[in-house]
Amino acid sequence: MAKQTVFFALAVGFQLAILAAVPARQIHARLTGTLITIRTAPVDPYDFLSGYHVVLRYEISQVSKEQWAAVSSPQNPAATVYAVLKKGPEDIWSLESLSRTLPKNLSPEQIAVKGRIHRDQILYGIEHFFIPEEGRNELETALRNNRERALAQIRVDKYGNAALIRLIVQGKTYEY
Amino acid sequence: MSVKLPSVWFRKRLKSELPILEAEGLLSAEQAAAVRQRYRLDALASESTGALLTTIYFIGATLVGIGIISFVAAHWTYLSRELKLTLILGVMLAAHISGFLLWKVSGRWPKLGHTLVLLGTLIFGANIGLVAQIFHVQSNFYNGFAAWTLGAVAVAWAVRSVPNAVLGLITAAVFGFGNLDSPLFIWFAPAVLILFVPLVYYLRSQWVLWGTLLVSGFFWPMSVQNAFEDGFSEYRFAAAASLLGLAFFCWGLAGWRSPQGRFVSVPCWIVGLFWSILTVFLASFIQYAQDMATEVIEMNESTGQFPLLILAGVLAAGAVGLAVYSGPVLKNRLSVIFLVLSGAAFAATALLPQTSTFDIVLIAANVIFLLMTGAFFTAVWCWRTVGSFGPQYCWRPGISWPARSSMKPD
Repeated sequence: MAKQTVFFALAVGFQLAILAAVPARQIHARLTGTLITIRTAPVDPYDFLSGYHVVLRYEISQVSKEQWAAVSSPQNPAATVYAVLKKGPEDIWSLESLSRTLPKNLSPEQIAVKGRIHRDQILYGIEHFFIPEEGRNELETALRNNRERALAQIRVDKYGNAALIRLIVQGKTYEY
Repeated sequence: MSVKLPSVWFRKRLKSELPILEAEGLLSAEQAAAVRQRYRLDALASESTGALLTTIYFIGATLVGIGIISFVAAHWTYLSRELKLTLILGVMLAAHISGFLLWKVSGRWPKLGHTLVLLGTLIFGANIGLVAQIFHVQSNFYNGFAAWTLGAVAVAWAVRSVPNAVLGLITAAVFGFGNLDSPLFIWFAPAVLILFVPLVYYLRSQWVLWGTLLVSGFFWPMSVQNAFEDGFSEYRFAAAASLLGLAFFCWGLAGWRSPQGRFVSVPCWIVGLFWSILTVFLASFIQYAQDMATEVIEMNESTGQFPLLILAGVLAAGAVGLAVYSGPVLKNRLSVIFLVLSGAAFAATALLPQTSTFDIVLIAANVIFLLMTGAFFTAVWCWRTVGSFGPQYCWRPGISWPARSSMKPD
């Protein structure tokens, strides 16, 4: 009986550990990361477990031919890459170059974000922004009317993990 | 003394037959009472009440679980994130702990307690959705189901819970459907087997076994197909499906050797035969066999690979033969005729001038198909005559196979 109690406690502890592991990188990035702003546009489906969300397509996910050259050659489809972002006008960060390994010695105007290659773009694990059912229409309308002018604020930690914090559309902040 | 009772179905029939036997004077009142006690026929009513209660509990838990999941998915903003997380984590822990106390510690409400532990694991799924939502973790919803599977399996091990294991299989299947085009998908079926086969034996549950066979079996040929980028290949699909069928079939045979392992046999045989029969059924069509043979010939010329399908076919035929030989099937004249016919067909295949691989594939497929159809009808025959696939009543030492006269009443 006592043994089974221990096993059950371990199993429940395992479930709790999974719950902690699912957002672990995002938590670390939220707590220790640098806040940066990037450009984004929406695309929006429904998630059975977590509800409605908008799928975001970031400017920093779109890679030019010259930038691909640094990491191309035969790729496995889910290869990890690091995107080096550079601070631009209005404090908005944009993609500068790509690297296979975590870049060292970046200037304060630069930051590295970990992503993986997906077809012709890069995914950073921050493409889903979950929204409440009631705020849904407002945010969707705002995003639709400002397709190329929406901003996202993310935090990036020293390992390149990114966490999505909030969206800014037309000066209005959306954070849930 | 605990006696292993036959199926509820059989006991219900027995219960309805006893008064007739008594009226005909075949059994005295004492003998009928003894039979009634031996098969615990008077407990049937309370047993079915218990089963009904369990069903209602589980349906209730499922509904509450789905309710909590949709609460999370609704993303209600009137409660703060911290409060929501505390609340739903708290409900999960409360369900787990109260269930454990009622089921294992006090032991007075085992069914209710077990249901609450199942509910805890359902709410665990809701919590995965919640943390992903709060931290905007980008994933496809089905990736959360993989984490859910792991949590359910852990609880199934810890408290020997069949419902938790079945929940784990369902969530694993959802994960599988979501990942059909993933490059790592080929590892899905092996992972399901590694995760659940030990559980099948630990829980000794045919439910978990059926689920494991169906989930891994359903995705395996597809995943082999998807692992290559050069489009559909008849040969590859056939090889994957027939090897899978063979593996399951042999698992059933291996289980049959010990009385403790026999509970795996019938489901393994049925699912194994299904995949083997499907393969040879497909291969017995001229177009399919032709495409397959072309591929095999090309492979032989380019890489010198051994034609896997023919190997699998021969092995499968051997396994079917072995099963047929080891069972009571030889006592059935029909299946003996089938065996002789199949043997003759095999011999004819060997003696025929071997013009092309295509002929061999086609003929072999048809022969194997014939053999397996025979095995299938034999199983049906066993079931029709003794009310089961034969095993537990007829093959047990000391209990003889029913005499022919008793099989056909008129």
